[in-house]
Amino acid sequence: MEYFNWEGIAALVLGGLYGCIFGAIPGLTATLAVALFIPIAFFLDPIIALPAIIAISSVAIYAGDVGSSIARIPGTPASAAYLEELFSLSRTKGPLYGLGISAMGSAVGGIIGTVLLIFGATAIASLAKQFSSFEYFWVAVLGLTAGVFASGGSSLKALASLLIGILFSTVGIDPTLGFPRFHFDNPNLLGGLNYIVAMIGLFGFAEVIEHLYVGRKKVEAENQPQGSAIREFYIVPLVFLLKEKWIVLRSSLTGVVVGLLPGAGADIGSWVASSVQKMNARVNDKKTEDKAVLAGTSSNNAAVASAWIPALSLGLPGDTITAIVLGVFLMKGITPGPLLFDEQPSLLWSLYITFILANILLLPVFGFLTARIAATLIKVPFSILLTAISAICIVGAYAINNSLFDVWVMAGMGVVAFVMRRGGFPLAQVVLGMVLGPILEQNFMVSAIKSRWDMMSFFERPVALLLMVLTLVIVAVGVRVKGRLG
Amino acid sequence: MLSIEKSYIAQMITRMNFQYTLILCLSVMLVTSCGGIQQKKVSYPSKPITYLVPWAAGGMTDMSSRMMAVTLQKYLGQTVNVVNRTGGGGVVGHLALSQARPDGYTLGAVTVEITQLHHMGLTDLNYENYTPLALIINNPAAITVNIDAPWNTIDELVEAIKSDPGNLQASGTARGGIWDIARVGFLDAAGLSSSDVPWVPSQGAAPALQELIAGGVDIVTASLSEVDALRKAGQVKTLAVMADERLSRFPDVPTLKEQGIDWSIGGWVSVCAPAGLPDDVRMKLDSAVYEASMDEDFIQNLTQAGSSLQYLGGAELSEFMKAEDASKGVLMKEAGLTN
Repeated sequence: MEYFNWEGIAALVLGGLYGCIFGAIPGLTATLAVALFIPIAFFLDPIIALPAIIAISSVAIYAGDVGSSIARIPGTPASAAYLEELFSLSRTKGPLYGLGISAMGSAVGGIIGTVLLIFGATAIASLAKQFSSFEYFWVAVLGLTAGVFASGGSSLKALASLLIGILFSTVGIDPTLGFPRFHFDNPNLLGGLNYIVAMIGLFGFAEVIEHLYVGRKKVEAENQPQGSAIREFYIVPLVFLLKEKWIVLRSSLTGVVVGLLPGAGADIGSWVASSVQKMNARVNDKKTEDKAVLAGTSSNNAAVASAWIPALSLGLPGDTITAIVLGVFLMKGITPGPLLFDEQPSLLWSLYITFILANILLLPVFGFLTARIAATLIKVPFSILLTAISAICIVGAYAINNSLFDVWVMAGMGVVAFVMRRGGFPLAQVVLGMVLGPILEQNFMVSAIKSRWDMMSFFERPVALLLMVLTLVIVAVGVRVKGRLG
Repeated sequence: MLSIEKSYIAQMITRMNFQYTLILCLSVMLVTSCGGIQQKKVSYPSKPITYLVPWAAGGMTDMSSRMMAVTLQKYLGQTVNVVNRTGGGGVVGHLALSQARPDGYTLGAVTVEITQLHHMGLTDLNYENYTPLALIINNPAAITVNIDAPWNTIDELVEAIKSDPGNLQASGTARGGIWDIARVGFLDAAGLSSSDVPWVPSQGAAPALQELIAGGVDIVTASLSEVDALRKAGQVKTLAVMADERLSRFPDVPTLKEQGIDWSIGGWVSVCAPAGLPDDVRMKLDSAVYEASMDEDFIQNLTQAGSSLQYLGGAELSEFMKAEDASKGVLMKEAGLTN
């Protein structure tokens, strides 16, 4: 193997640790971790730079779950979809078990995604080629519809939360016509409200306000099992995963399909997969939470791998990370596209092997280490943990754009979340609305302009029609399930 | 062996006293922030420099600016920290640089948008709010179509537009963005009206190219470096580049000027300081930026990443920005792109 050596392995391990830290801290995203690595990547061989990037992105997406499990703050938007479930699981059954499921699902999902990347890259990529703005519009509609029924409580309240999120997403310069909206002559608002900043406020800072308001009420971890760490982290989740292998397979495939659409990526993949799971939930199933976490966590890692499919085979980046990877490729004189598969097979195989290794190493090295730290932190008295959470919220919100204004936005979102929670409105849907709102708006406008405002054109293309039918199916099933649950 | 080491590390972290760590972190932060107060009068640069980038990490502006920052570090002997101030279609970052103290410790990337944003009425900022130091890269726009499109030359494309005005559509970036203006200028120079090829807005070159391949639009006017991967993959063909002469990396792509259409335009990135930079600091920076621009590693890395390098010193850059600003103002008004 020309492209495989110990330096690559070392890069993989170090990259994974680095990704671990970035993923776990809210506000420091996987994209930022990779972007900060670029100046170093310039001077490195591709056989060292690429494994490091793969490890950073794969591990960061898993590590996003660590914040959810300790403090109900998702480290990355891809973790927000199953936040409540993972947090409650970590409180009742222990963080080792919660993160064990998360790591196990991530590893298996990532490997399934990689296998599809190996065997189907060119074939799957031709599917992605068919996607124009009409199809993206329907993907956004599908994601939003899934979000309405994904909440445990009232669908109507979930819809209201979603609309609040979409309203937030309209702040700033209109993405298609360039008209400034809701900016109140403040240049900071021209860029819109960043959904990661909002996420930190909605989940992190809201937690602080909540505890200040409730006072000294003890939120101790409940009777956690005292079994050995190995048993809690590996064996119990593994048994569970083997039992629910169809959930893992289905969610990973969902993740792959959503992840390979340029611009959709891991965030939306995990939403769709965990919503499907939550809608299938039966009454009196004690493992509902476990299953939702498993579905979400395997789909987002599968999506990380499948985002490479259009990048490698078409030269079109599936998400921001692969966009950076394409830059590194070009810099090193490697041109992505169909020719790559004939000209550079050894490079491709080293990429595939790195993906699989990164996902396997997730279990014993990165996953176990973070879960052990999480298990310790969860026992720290909450009053001390809250101080640290406030600090991380402020630093994290500032770090996104290096803007003090964003810190205020974050704090404001905390207040919004505090009020909404009092009324029983789910918060994750607000984030979903902020993520999908711009995609929906933009693709609607582009499609309309393209077809000269002929609304029938939204139903004329076969893939678009299929996505619309899927949306209707979700509405029908969702209404029925919700009706049955009362 | 591995498992012994692992559990040792885990135990070590477990035992670390949480409060102690927190106090340590806070005191380190305090000590470092005090450093700024005691500034002695020493020659520039005596402390780290901040380099503001108005666009997100990962893009062409970010990549070239980070390379410039790393290289400048070598010639100035001080750390140069890149800070992304994104948002508002570039307004936020450009505003932050213009408002910084002109002492040479805040530099930044000023991009082609500074000659467009104020025409659109999004800000009052213009090129006069900065002290220009040097132009780094200038990527010319190009005219790219689907590989299956019936036109193989610019003449054939122009004929097709003339025979059925308003039928073909172009894309590449947001409305009023640099590639939109490239379209307007091209149509103007070819004797056509801007409504003959309507603009379909997109969030950058990649989604526009996706539309081009999927058959949603007919023409993309993004730069050659952005379409290069798809060109090599045999998905698209580039009919012309909007440069004064052919690019050395793409000798097979003719220029518009060769084909009798007098128009060239590019997306550029420069390095600037806030307006009112003292002369001594300016001279020092001028020469450091010049040396960095001529640095072999710098040139090689950026060229390989697909950028077209173009160095212009401070005075030339100032003239260049002024000319760009004026010509775009006229074009954008004609095309109705001003709000």
